Amino acid sequence: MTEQAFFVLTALVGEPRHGYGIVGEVAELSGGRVSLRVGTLYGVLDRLVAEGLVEPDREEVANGRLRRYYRLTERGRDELATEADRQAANARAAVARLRAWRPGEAT
Amino acid sequence: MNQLERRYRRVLRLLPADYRAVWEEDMVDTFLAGVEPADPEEAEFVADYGRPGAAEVVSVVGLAVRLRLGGTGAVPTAFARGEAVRRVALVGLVVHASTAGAGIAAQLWSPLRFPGFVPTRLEAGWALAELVWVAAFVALVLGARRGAVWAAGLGLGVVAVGSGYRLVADVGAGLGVVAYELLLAALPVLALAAFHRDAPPVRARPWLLALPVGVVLLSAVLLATQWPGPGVVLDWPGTLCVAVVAAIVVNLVRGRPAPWSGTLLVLALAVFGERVVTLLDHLSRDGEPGALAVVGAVQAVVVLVVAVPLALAPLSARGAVRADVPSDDLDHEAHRPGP
Repeated sequence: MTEQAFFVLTALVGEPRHGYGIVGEVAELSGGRVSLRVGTLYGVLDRLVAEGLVEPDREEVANGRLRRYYRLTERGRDELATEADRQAANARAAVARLRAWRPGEAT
Repeated sequence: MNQLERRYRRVLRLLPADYRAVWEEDMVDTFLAGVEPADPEEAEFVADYGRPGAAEVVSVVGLAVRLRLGGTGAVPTAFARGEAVRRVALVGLVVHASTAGAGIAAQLWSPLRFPGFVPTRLEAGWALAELVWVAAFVALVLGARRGAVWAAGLGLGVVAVGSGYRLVADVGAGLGVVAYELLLAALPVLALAAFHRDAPPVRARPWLLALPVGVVLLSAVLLATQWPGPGVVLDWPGTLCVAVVAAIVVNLVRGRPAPWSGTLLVLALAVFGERVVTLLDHLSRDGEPGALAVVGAVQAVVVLVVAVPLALAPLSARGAVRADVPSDDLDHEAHRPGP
């Protein structure tokens, strides 16, 4: 799973969001590090929809334009949980090694 | 619809029509929501004079490339198109790499064949610099795509420097020839765009085998055309013509597999252009058409003649694919889950 897909799925946890809402949420979740352009967002979103991890929730009209909301599917939640566990395990392993490491002791 | 929206929709036309049918309205809303200022006066100004930023345009271009030059999971037509372009990149890079290898081989055998000949430092350095194409090709075949792009970019830089030198030193090639050869060298580098994240892995073994075969064949051509020698009238564009015609004939005999038809059509047109440009340059310099010009004209005609069935082949192949898939599903297959 790419970092962008990971953040898009995370952004949809808890409540459905529209495209611009996802962009804002991803920026906040990543501390401003991941800034999704529209072409990039929909490149990720169409793939997640095709894989059944995300699905359309509802459509609203805002400022005279169609606004579509997306929600996480059950499968999407499971995939995200698996990926989050994997990343957390990786991070724990790295942190444990770093704590045990004393510069200068290495041969 | 304001000017900004109109401009953004114009950018979105880069995307396939079936994709736009599902996603365009949503993309427009997301884009406009992101750029419209809260202040009404400022919003009016942006609506009239604003333009999609470069980063937004680049993101749409990237998406369009991924969709049009499809990889795994794409609709059959987009996948076939993607495969054809990926093979243009592979063939182009293996030609560059083989040429570099043959160049090194020539540096080694030339002192033996021509006693007293010693390559200058520039010649030796140049031959070594061109080996970057070997790195690009091997990296691509082994799946190191980012490395392949960097190495191919460097290789193109080497070609560009060589082109500049040829123009400045006036070594017998006009601006048209040098510019076209630079474009031809850039073709496989541009085609690397088809190796996006969805592109399937390259079958390494046959492509890795193609490299030494190419070096041996090009070395044989060099030996046959060097003077003094057998005196075969075959210049570099002629060599490309012979290679592309041979590949097309083999492809026709094998029953025109679709991705190769597209690849060979692109290569045939590129080589045809190279042949015509060099021929015109040759005639403008020498006036009287010599043996090379006559042979060159024949080569151009033959390439054009064998390319005609190829121009029709992708259409028939596409028809065969469509016949297997319900017509309603084909174009929407990859984007079906849209609302």
